[in-house]
Amino acid sequence: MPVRNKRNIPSRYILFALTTVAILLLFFSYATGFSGGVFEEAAAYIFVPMEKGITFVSNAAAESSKDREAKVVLQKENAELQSQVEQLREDNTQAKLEQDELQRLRSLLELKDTYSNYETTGAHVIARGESNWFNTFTIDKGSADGIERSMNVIANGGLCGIVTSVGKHSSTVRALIDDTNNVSAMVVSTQDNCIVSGSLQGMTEENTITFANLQDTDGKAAVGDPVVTSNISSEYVPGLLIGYLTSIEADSNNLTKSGTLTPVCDFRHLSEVLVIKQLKETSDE
Amino acid sequence: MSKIRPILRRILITALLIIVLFVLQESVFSRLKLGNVSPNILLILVSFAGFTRGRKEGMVVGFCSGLLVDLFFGSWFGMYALIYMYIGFINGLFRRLFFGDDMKLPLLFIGLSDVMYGFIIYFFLFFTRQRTDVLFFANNIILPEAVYTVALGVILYVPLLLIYNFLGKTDQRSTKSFV
Repeated sequence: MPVRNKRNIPSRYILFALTTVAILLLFFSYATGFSGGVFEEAAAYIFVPMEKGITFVSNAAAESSKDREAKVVLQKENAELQSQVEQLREDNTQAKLEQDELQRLRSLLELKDTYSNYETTGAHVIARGESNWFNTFTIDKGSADGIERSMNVIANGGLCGIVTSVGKHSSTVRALIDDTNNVSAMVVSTQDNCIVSGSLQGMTEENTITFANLQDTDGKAAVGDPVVTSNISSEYVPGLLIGYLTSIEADSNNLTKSGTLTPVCDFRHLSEVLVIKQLKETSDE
Repeated sequence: MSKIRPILRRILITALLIIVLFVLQESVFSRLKLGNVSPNILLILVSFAGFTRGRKEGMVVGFCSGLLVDLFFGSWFGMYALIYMYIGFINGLFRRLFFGDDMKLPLLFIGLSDVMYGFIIYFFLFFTRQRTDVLFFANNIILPEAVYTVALGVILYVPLLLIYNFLGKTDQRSTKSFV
């Protein structure tokens, strides 16, 4: 703050100088993909511990107030769940048998690795993005924990975002529902590809995101069908559940379809996520 | 030496304010969403610095706050610095209208700053990508955010004023002893 030179330099010069600096930075970052580099790392050393602390405290506070309310509900739920457990045990035995059979058949087909379990690592969400316009968040793991740029992030059993920048002990994730985010996806029932795009308007109005370019010529895709990441995506590993179709409309060209889907990941209450430590391998890398 | 000390103190306290508000913004207020929006308390500081201290301090505080946001969340480095800086500068133009005891005008400025911030972001980053439903974004994001921010401005106004008065006094004393 140049209080010392207050009477000497007219403010328009300072404005001009700072504007130039900011615009140069903009061009520089656009040209080189620079997003803070060393400064970001340095700043992370100061801010990440603070954010971790505050998040921990606010989580603990939220949980203890929830605890009191939840006790009665839990007891009731427990009784219900006990009876469900019995039922599920039975189902589980059945499923195990089928799993064995599936594995045997898969090995026969040499499809072992198609939807194998990816290696993941857990992380806490320690901060949310700055504005109401973009949906990004910070997690408490970084390059020291083996996180790399473009790693996929999952939560609640579905795709939740992608790592966009990595610090030593923290990384920034762009959420699936961010307005600038696009994912190459596939409707499971028809195996047709489409593009899923985040939508601020859709999320605000009815908790949906949009899809487009679905080439469903037979008209078999139906509301409720699951949508997963496609195998032709350049950044996302295949087979991750994105959400379920909620509306389908034919485009005016009568060749493709577009509409909305509801993501499975609950973005309002995101506190723990899993980062998939496998990167999508593409030919140009 | 005695002239530099109050300046250093001002820089230090302002930097501390920026850092504290930024951390609160990221980890506390981003969770306290009302009507699907969170407030922008960093903008309260930028606007406040502008209309109490004038153009220069407004834009320097804005530039530094924006740069901090850019470091963590900007998709283009320097974008928020530019926006916050101009908001600080424009608030600084109205310094003459400012009197400490009246809260209505500062709150109006904070609200207008937030609306301006919202429309800048909308126009440059959403409108340019064919998100053309202006009314939707104004009604669901820009205006609710401004209302929420003004409401927090009511709470933050007095503490900020006290801090700035404290800094102002120390400055005056030092200039008097020197002129």
